[in-house]
Amino acid sequence: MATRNSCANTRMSILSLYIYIYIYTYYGYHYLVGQSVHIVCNYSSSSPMQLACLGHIQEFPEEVSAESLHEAITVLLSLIPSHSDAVSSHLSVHAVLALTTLLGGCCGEENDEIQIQRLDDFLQFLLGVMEDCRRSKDDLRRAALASLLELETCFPGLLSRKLDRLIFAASTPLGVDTLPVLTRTLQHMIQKHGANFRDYSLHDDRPPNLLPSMIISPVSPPLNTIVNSMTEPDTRELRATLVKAIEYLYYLPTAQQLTTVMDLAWFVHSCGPCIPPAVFKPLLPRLIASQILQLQESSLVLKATFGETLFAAEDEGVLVKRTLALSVHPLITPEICLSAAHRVLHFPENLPLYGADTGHAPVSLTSTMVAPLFPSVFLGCPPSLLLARLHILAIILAENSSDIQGPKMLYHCLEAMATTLQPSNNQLVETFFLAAELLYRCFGDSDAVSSNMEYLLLGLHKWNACLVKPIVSFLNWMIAEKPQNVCPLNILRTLQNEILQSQILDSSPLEGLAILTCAVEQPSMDQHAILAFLASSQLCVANDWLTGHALLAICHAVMVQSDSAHLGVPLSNLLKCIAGGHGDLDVQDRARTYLALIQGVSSKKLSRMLSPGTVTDAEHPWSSPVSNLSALSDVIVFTETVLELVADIAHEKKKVLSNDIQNSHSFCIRNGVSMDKSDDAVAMYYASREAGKLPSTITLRFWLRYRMSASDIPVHLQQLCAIELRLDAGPNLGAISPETIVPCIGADEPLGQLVRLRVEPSQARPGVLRGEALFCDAEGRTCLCLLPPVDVAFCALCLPLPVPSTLRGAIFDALWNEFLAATEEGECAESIFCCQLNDTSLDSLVNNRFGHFVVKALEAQYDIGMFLPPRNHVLLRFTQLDATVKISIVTDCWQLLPFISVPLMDIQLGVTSPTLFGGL
Amino acid sequence: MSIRALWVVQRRTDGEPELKLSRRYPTVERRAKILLGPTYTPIPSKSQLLDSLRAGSSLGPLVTLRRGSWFLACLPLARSNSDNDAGVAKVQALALALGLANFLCSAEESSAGAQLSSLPAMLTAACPFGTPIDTDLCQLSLNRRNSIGSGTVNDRPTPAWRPFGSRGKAAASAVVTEWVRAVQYGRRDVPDAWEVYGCITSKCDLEGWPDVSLNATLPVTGVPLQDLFVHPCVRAVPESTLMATSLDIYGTGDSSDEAFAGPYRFQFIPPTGTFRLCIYTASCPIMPVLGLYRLDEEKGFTSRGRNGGGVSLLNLSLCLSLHESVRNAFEYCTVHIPFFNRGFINVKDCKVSTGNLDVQKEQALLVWNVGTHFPKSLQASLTGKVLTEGQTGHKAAVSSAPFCSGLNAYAKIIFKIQDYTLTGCTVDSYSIQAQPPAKIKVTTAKELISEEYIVWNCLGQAPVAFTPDFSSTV
Repeated sequence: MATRNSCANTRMSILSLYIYIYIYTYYGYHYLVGQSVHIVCNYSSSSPMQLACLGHIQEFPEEVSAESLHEAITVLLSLIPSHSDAVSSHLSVHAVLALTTLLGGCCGEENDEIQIQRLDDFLQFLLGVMEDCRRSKDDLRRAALASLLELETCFPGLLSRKLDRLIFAASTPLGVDTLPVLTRTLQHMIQKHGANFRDYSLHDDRPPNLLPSMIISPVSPPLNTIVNSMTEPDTRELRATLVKAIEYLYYLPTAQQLTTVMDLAWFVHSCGPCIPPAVFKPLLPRLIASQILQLQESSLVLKATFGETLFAAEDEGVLVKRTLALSVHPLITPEICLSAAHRVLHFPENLPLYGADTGHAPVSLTSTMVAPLFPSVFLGCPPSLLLARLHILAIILAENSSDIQGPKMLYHCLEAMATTLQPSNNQLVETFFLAAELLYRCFGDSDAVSSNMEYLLLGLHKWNACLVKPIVSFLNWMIAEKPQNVCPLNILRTLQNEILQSQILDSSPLEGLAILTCAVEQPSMDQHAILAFLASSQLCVANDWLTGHALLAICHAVMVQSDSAHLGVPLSNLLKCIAGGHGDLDVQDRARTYLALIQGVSSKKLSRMLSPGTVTDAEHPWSSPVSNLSALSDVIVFTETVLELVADIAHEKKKVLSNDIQNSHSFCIRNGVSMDKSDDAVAMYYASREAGKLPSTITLRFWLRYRMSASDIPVHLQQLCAIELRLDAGPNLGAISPETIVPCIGADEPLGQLVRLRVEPSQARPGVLRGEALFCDAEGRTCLCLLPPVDVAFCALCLPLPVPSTLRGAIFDALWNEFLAATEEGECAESIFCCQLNDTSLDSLVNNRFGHFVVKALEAQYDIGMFLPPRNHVLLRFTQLDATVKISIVTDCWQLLPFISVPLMDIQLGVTSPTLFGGL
Repeated sequence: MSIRALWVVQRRTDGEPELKLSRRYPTVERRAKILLGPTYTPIPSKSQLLDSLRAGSSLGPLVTLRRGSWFLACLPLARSNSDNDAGVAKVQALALALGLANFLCSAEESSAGAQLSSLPAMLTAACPFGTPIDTDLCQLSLNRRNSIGSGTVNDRPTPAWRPFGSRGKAAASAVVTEWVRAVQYGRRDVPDAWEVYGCITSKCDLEGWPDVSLNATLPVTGVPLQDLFVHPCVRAVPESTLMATSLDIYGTGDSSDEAFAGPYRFQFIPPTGTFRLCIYTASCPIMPVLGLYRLDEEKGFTSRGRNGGGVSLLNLSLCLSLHESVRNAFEYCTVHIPFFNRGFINVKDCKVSTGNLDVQKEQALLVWNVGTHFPKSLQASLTGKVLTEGQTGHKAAVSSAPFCSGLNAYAKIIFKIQDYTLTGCTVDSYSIQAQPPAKIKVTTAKELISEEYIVWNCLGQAPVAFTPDFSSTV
């Protein structure tokens, strides 16, 4: 008996590993995480599977339902201390990580006493590992320390009661790695309790508060927070501890050095004069000397926190120069160089770190020092780095107002760049344009620049399509910001003449029309000529929707102008051409509307009607110093996930439980076949199978509904229109019905809108529907939101045998015999599964779970036949043997066995909400 | 200071991006929801990320990094650009992305798959919850490999980069490698440009966790090192070494008189394996090899080739001169003279004063192997005529260097000199000491390598960078 149990366990393990692989591959994470706790709990003999499941819990803890949270925490806690060998230690590490994620990611919505008790148990374990010197280098200790740090970050103040243990651990040479946990705990305690933090840590016996909160460490922490509460010996002791901690920073990884320096700096700042910032002095040379990004950043964090109390003018000069030198060092990777350049632009001098978006150069940087930033002839400088360097140069040279050579130098620098410009190299051309734009923004008032900007911009290869939008935006900005400057109008005039005199619109219509739109907005340009030219062009009779709208944009730009009365005739001529000749109906309609407007409304009224609201500076697309080309593209607003697809469970239940359901797929054998001639029916069925004419599509029903309650839905998303679902069914589910449009959905429809999707599986495997919804919100914006993935389970792919119900028995018998005979070779397979009936009868068991798949029902035997498009079958025979049910499974595709095992295991485990075949 | 999610994408050979690994951090995500409140936006989906890669556009506050076929993206937890924590989070995100990129690119092509499959475990160790613990994944991986069987116990603080003390024969090596890159025009109106930079690479196989010290020295005539940056394992460097930067040259004229000229003393606990102890630049006054390249079309020579393309005869002359202070013992010295946009080449009457010449017709490339020594005169020359025949559709006619048409041409010098550096920087082998003391087998070396060492045809055009003249403002 024992041997049999052992064999059964082994078989179950192998089977469950199969199940895991298939579930992971075909169902996706969400289903898996829900099952992971059971798998971790039930199949302890299979470590790889447990590790995989723990990994999934770690990444998707929110998928563990609230009901099973306690159980999950208990299971994970039970895994941790019971293993000491190498493999199990690995398991313990993952269990610690998973448990931390579960606690930090899911707990604390309410102060649950059980959760608090479990958390306290877990903390005791983690602290025990932390204090165990034998574990100084093993993975479990690393994981335990990372967990402590994460839990303290998630629940600030959690470790305050353990402060003494943390201080003791950090004070020993082997406990250097506990320093980050200690400093974070100290920081949170001061933030929460100020001067009384020490008393709080000693006398607080209250259980930890699990409500998550967010403590944002300000750049300047509250000064003198704890100074008054310290005695002289206390201060000396604290100072000695800090000096030791700062010395020990050396031993930490650079990433942790940065975070710990931040926390320590915050702590020292709150200590006020009793702990002078000079305790950090010995650290500075090491930080400033390092080529590592995080250590460089640490020095700037100290500069931002302590300013001149830590950094004398000389030190500051060294810091600035070395940061600048790092940004041009030939052996430093471009990304770190770029980061260094940004740090120069945001140097914490008179302003907090990252405090200014526009960038300021450090005072100690003179124009002569930045000479190495001028582009060299050597290759290897990516555009973003080149622009950052030019930005620093421009700022330094612009701030040095006595230096009239600055603008000239930069102009000559650009000229030198232009000599190597290749029209085909979009990236180079874009970079050059951005550099020219930068120069103009900084030195637009300088004659040396503005008088030559026209030459520079026109020198760019004008019909490089990637540049048209930024050039137009730049010209608009120049016209708005520097109206006295004739340069942009000259550029526009030149571009306009080129368009009107050449065939550019034939080859690059959208780019040409964008330039003309910009030109027509300027009253000083020859608007008549533009409108007349367009009215005679072939674009008016094109079929392209985009071009049509670009033409209409030009008309709109004219109509917006209040003094456009003199343009009435050419404008109406152009609109008539579009309305009468354009191939797109939408464009035609809009042209007619415009025509009606200009004929019926005076130009001044029309202007007021059509003028957009005033754009504030903050909203202006050019408010950033360096333009972002991608930001100029058409905007789709990404929104949070407001919608979801939910399986139509009610319908599926109804379908399963009704025995008289009509099988819509029984088309392969028509009514013309006599019911008596079952042999003919079988032959015909086989012929259809061979010819691939069995049903290939499945209709899935979903409800598209809001993901949140009506009160939580933002106002502008309460009514969504023209919802276009873009779904990807993945490789298994194959083709899906083309884009699905739902006209509208409102927050007042709790059930949502029914969506039917037809999938055409390429093979009988479950899958996941992923996708997004594109819709219009109440403010008319086009929004895009992700849809949560929807699992399409194996059961949903099962159809009854696609023949009339009277013939199913014959087909079942034929297929059963055929598959059984072929189990030795090929794809066919047979399997047997046993389970206890418990308190249910076989009849209710089968009918509740397999409903309309029942082919034959005898006294103690039920035959179930399932067809899985495009070609496979699974046949089940339930036979009652006393209190046990033997389930024989026969299939023509052995790979389907793991999937059919899942619902059968539900039966064995006594799951009360059965997996419904034919449902989702 | 944390990261919400990260993605590892590889561009396949057909150009399509393929997501190889992604990781989201639920605890950080929970903090993000609290911190960002109504401005919270969900993590971009896989399809959004891949679409943005295909379109070449950027996605929100993602910190991205491209390295070879790899694309790394991290989403830092950032409230706004002006948030102090957000700035640090971006730095951490970039450091993690760099660590990932270095780890993935460190594997040879044959073991790239194994490297990728070990990535999830490495990532769990480096960043288990979204707040990076250790971003040097290469070192982390090396330490994990070396951890098997290492049971040495330490009673002192253990550095993160050397968690296990090694055993075996004590040995230490230090190599000074310098690179020189130059662009020479051979014209009076355009100054030549050159740069010298170098590094000291070290490897210490020592027992336990020793404190090692090492001196790099310069001779009396040596060139002071500038912009010196060190490995994070270096515990202390003389503060005076931090003062010397290349930025001072323009500010105070020639500062070399006052510049710190060593010895450069480094104290460190070495990591496992080979590491770059420090990097530096230097303002060397000389270029090791001077070149003058003249390429001109023979006037009056007109002909048509067999395939209808134009044929031209080019007069070629290249003179190289080795600086007298440079060690005349090359490991190799080769000159590549490409003929872009001209089709096939045929060499007529080409002579070299030393070494030999190889003509690669298909690639339209002349390769002059100068050899291991310059003649006593320290001069070497190549003269001759080259017949070029344009051939439409030939791969040599479709050039990757569109600028190099007509007389716009260059020669590239590739050389390596062992036991020599331009700065004179040497690691003093007697200075390498360990604490606790140990008998160490010490190896030191130095070398100079050319990198992008270009001589432009003085009769054609060449890309010229603007050289600022601050003489009037100083």
